[in-house]
Amino acid sequence: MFKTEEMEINLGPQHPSTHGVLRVKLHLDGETVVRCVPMIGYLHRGVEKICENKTFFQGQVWTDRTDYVASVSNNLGWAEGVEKLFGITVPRRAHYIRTMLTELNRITSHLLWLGTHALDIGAMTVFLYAFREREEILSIFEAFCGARLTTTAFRIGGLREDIPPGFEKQVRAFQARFLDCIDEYEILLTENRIWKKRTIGVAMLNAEDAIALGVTGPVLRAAGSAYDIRKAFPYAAYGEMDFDVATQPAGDTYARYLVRLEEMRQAHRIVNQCLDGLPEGPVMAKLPKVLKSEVNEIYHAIEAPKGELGYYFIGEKGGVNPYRMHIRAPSFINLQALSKMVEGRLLADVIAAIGTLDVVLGEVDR
Amino acid sequence: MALSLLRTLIPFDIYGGMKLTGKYFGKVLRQANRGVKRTHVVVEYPEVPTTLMPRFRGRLQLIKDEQGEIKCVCCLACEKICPTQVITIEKGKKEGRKTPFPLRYDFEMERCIFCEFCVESCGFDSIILNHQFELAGYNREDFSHAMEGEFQNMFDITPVGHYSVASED
Amino acid sequence: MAITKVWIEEGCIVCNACEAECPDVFHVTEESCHIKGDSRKDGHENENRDEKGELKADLQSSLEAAIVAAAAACPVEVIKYEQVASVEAQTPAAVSEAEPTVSQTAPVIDADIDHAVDAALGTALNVPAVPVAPIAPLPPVLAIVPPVIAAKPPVPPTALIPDAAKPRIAKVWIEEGCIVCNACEADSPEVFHVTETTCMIKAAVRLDGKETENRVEKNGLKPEEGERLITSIITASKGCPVDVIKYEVLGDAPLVEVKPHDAVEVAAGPYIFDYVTAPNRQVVMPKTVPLPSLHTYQEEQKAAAAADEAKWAKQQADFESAKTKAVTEGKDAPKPPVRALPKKNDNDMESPAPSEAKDPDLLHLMDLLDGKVSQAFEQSGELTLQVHPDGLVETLMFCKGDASLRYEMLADQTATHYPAADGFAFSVVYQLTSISRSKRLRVRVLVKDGQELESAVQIYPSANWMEREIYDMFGIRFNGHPDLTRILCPEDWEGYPLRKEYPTLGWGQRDIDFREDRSGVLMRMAMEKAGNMGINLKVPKAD
Repeated sequence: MFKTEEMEINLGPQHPSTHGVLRVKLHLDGETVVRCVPMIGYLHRGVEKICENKTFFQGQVWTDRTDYVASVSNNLGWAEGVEKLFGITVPRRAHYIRTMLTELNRITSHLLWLGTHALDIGAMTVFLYAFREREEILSIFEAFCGARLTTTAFRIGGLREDIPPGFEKQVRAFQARFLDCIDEYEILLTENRIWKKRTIGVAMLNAEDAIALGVTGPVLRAAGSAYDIRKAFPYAAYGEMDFDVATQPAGDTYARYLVRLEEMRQAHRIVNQCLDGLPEGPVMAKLPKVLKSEVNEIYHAIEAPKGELGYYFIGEKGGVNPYRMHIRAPSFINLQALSKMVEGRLLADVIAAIGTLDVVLGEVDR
Repeated sequence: MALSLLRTLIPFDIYGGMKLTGKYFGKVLRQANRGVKRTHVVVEYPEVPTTLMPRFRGRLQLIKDEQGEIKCVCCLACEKICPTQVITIEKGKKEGRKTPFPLRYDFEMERCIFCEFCVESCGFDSIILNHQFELAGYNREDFSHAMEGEFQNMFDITPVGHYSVASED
Repeated sequence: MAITKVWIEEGCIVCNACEAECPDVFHVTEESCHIKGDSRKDGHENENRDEKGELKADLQSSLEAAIVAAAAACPVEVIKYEQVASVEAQTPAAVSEAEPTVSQTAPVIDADIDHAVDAALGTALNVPAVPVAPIAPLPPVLAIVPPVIAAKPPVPPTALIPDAAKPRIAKVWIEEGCIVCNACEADSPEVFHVTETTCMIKAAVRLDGKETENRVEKNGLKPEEGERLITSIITASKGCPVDVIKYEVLGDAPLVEVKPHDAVEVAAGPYIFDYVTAPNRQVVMPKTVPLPSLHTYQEEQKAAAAADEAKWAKQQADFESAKTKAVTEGKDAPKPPVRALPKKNDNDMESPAPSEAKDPDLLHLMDLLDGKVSQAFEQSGELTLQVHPDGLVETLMFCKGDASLRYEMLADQTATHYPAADGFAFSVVYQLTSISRSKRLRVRVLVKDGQELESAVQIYPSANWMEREIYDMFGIRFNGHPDLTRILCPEDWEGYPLRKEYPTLGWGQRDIDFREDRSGVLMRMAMEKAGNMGINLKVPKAD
């Protein structure tokens, strides 16, 4: 009696809920998504090509600009990757400071995710509370390295400078009240009936599919697999830290929310341990003035807030810049799972799925 | 079962959220215009100047020593290390000065990424990134700094307001 | 050419510039700059100012370019060196110790020019510089056309004053049939001005000061302009696709070689840039193949050890002969040679070397894939297994399915371009991760250009986008991939950006728009480059 027809609509690239310039081509049958094709590349800048033409020292500034909400994590991946390529031993104090800043960065990234994801779904208030704490951590970054977003925090072989005077007091002041802040987010969201209706059972992804699709980070852990690179392949000072890997069995948006909140609590724990056990000593390894690589090939992965962030380097003999540099961007791989999550579901859930994957388009497109 | 029914009927969750919002609302209301120290985080920026951390990375600035001489000796370390190649130096000689003297020190701020690699590479402390952050301009010439020039010179902090709306009149 | 001595005069400002250029010779301390003991015959480490000790014979020519560059980079110019034309010109004693195979054509790098080119490439075109791209010599035709700069007119060639003996163009005019192709204006912008309908001879070069086609009146050119612009006008005339530019020459016209001009195509269609042949976007192709491999490493080690042995044997033989000579002549015996110890590593850096595969996973895989494995080794604590392309799918199946391996996740897949390699062009690597066993393995295959590789999507679904990215960036095709299209670049993109022959500047870049730079250096270089490429740049007017 009625003629039905599939409709094709474009979500993005200038849609506020796509967190950047993501375009999703959706085939809809009524309000049900039949097929979902993410289209990317709008922000492609050729970071890998540029870094291959810059020295190991200079290349770090481009890593700030891939995942720009977690630039400290990217700096850590670059610095540790180059150190592995050259075989550099980094002083223990530098490892501790790096770990502390990376964990603070994890908190800022999750806070930004929490605020914007809740805003997408319709909870405005959390955004204001989340950004209040994020602002404080950005001030901590500013105190340490002089910039809030594009940090360029670390150097090959350690740190440029030790922590500034008053830094520990500033971090401790933040640490003292942050756990209460997480409780406030929980009051606003965890038991909220609208939040639960919009997230429980939405954008399901089980552990088997997640691993097959290469999905890592909180999305994988929310599906029940306790894969965390900080535990599986310890780097920096994580081998000496005492923390738990947050997991949830459900594999839906609500589970990912709980996992990320728990990760913030664990990050808070790690920062406290770094402050308490901060060893004395130098922060920079003794290095020749000009770094020249040997023929070597490494893949170094760290647990960035979004998942497994890998740096692949090839060095040539006597080379001052990498022969090949590749970034295994967690957002890029995680975004592959979007089709799997939303096909057969409602259109409104696509927004929740994009939000819960926590993609940063600067990193997807590089 | 009964508990879940009770939760559905009585909106505890909404009560909790309203309580939190009310708590902060009351706090702000109590502090407003009472002369007490404010604990909320909003900074009234253009009226109240912000405080920056000592290591803040602002605009590149050349340093002079006590005698008013430029400290730069043109070793070109900053020019070489700059990832975006914003610095151009021309080496020259000056009477009564032993070390070389920069005839020209151009700084193209529009491409600068404020990474501070130049300052790090400088062995003579002759450049710093100062604390200037209001860097918007009206045309491209505003971002091209050189040793001479009225506003965009490399030695002083650009007059406040040059980059901002206040310079309209 | 070789540098025998190098020393530091007084006045060093400890700026590190020399050590950055040539770390093998210079060592900058807190107070001064030293010539390293490793590079000197006497082995002392000081400024070498008084004694002027010689450099080691094998370093004299190999480090020449670096030392010259360091001397040029020194801001206070205190680095002095003694350069001899060839090794033979040295004292006989030096000849006997020098290696017979000393390269006589060590390149002399002018650090300043090199740097200026780098800066111009990078700064002017607003993108990072092409690595060490040498400035291509200007083609003979275009070199004579001075770049147009409105603010600062270029310095004309030396022959500005008209000389009766020199040939010059008396008249130039445009016949009917101009197709408004802009070719002449690109060749000689000072004479020709192409409007919407026709081409004009500019007023500035004409005696009567009018701007017309000059077809009817055939007015003469100013003598000095006619002489200065003779080559460019002939170039433009020969380059005209419809041959409507006519001219009259006084004296013998110079021989002008004209390359076939494709200006018509450029003007007609969208701007398409041949990035492989364009003179100024050529990149320096890598000459080495940095493919980490145990075989190559072992061979290199063996060769280095053999060379070291041979050198030591030669030193001893030289000493013996000198000793017998001294004994027969009744002189004092020379000092016995001292074998050089390996360099002491006094920093926190230890370059990782590849070692034999000892890991049970690698051994197990080598058993399973008998004959399909090219090599397996460990380096930096990472396991690498290199397999033949036809054994790839089998390898990945084993890695995923074997009960003792269980590599469940394909974490990363990427490729590398090796243009200098023999027998292959790309390496494709698969970073496998075993979540249950906390282990990583790298599987590597070498493929030729144009060779298709089996897709891994059926085994590891996460390979879907990664293989699309590799196809997008390198042009490697994967057989059996469900949707092998470009992913990051637009669908109609030409070329594969991460290949080494693809320049950093890219092709089809947006219109280049330069503002006035204070020195004019960058503009001039950019204009030269653009003119070389056949792009007519618009000069922004200074307000």
